Amino acid sequence: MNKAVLLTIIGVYLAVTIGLGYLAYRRTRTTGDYLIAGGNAHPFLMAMAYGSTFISTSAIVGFGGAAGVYGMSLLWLTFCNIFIGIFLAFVLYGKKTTVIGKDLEAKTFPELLGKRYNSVFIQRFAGAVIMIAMPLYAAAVMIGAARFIQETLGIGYTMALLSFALIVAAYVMSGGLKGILYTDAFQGSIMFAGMGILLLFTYNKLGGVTAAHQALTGLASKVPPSLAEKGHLGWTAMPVLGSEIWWIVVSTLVLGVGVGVLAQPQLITRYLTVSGPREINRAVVVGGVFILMMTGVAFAVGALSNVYFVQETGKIALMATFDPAVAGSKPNVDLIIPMYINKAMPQWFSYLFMITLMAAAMSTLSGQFHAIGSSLGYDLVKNNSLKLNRACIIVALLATLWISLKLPVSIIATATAIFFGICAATFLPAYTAALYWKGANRAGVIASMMVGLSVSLFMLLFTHGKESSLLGLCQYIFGRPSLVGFPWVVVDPIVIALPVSTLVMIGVSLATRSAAEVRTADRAVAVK
Amino acid sequence: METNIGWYRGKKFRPFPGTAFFCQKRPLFKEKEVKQVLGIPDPQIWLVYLLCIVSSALCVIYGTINWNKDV
Repeated sequence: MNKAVLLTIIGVYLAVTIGLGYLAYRRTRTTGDYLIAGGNAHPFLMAMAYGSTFISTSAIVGFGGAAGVYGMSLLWLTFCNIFIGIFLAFVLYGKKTTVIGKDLEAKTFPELLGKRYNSVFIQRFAGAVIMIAMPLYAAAVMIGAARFIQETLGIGYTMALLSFALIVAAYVMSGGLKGILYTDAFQGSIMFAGMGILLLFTYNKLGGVTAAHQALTGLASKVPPSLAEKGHLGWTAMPVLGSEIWWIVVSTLVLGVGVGVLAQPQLITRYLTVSGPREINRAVVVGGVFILMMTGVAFAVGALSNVYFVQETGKIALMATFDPAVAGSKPNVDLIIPMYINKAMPQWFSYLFMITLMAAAMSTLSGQFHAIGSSLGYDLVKNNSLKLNRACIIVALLATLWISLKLPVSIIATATAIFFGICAATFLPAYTAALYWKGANRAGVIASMMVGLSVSLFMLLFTHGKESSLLGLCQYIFGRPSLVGFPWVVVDPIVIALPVSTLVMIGVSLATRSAAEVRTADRAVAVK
Repeated sequence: METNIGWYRGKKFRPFPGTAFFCQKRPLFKEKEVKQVLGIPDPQIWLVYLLCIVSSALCVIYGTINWNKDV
């Protein structure tokens, strides 16, 4: 790889990004500009910002790598991403959020909930959850980018993490959400081009769509026994119904992330950046196509990388990521996509894909830093100062960096799923009711958020084996990695926590409803 | 007497129809052929492959129809 060429391309990319950040800085004068980009953004900018914030290196490298292991069953997640994450999210949630958000003059997602339920506690609680949990997701995004930079440039992992995070923090601090919208549109366009070319190259290399799929189908006999006994039937087949892999794919990856997207604070804020439902209607067009080209391509290519690796090395993708002869080397899901790009694609494409991944990571990370910073400065401390909100980005940067250095390998998809699950269980019932159910009241929402968060955390720490064994608290207290056996040990917390928090909100709201609260709710939900 | 039909070609005619089938060296039931769509045999996978494209098209159609509606 010609490093001079690569560094020049990266330099040009960063110069444009920083230029757009500077442009946004010049146009950011008020807290409203900083937090919701003035509230009158173009629908194309909004849709690209939503899509590129939604899709990160985590989706491309982490979940693409997971597709390399579990196969095309992950396309159910793409379907959920498009149908739930774009269509239902924009049509059912986005339009109402825009209208109610303007009505309540909300600038952040916690403030929207707080004002809707007339509770400062709700705003602060939601802000605290975002501030504490989001760095985990942001760390997953940073790890994905840093792994690829490490693989491509051959620089140290810590150096890659640090330089990357500093650049993003700089333009988020200066340009706020306007900076994010401008850079996201630029970065989203690069991502679209990069993923489109990746799809064409992959199918072309493997002999066309049908031939590539048939070759992948023919690899079913190469499924390692350790995966086959957990229900893996091949890369073009769903896992055995009810098996361990089936639960991982369906409950953690598809449901956890597919449904969890509806309650992502950094995405909900995007609805507040446009002036009305018409802009959301227009944004649906861009969003649907964009997500198909992102996760659809990443998951199809991730699964198809097995055909390439078997043809070239005789090993499936996961096994090709490590060398058994090297001490300490072990399979790494997160390396499947980077290795495939570097080995299978022409060199010029690995430059473009490098920029694509940087763009994906930067666009998501910028939204996350902004959400963490605004949760701290605007929602928790409740300070309207532009300077303080900018300073809070540094806290977001440090927290994310610290977690990134602590997390183990093959963590990207899991960390993403944890955050999406926590958000869904904690926020989704309250957010849905804020838009559609006048009967929801403060007590019901507080109870729902607390129960949703508690059940999620309990299951992550004590029942869901993947996380509980990683976190180690259950092992420390009870001497075993999980309190439950199969299948509960692989059932994602969202499957339990979301219905429980929903029922709690309905039950407590009905039990504590007063006439005064009904009137308040009616006023708040009233749509012009 | 020799027949000239299918598997029986060149074999001796059996006067009781039906008995011959039990003598044949072929499976009693025809093996079900796995149907593939786009090279994918599992209906749950090719269905979702197509659903991804259809749902994306749905977004385009919905947005285009409601392009100027402010509701």
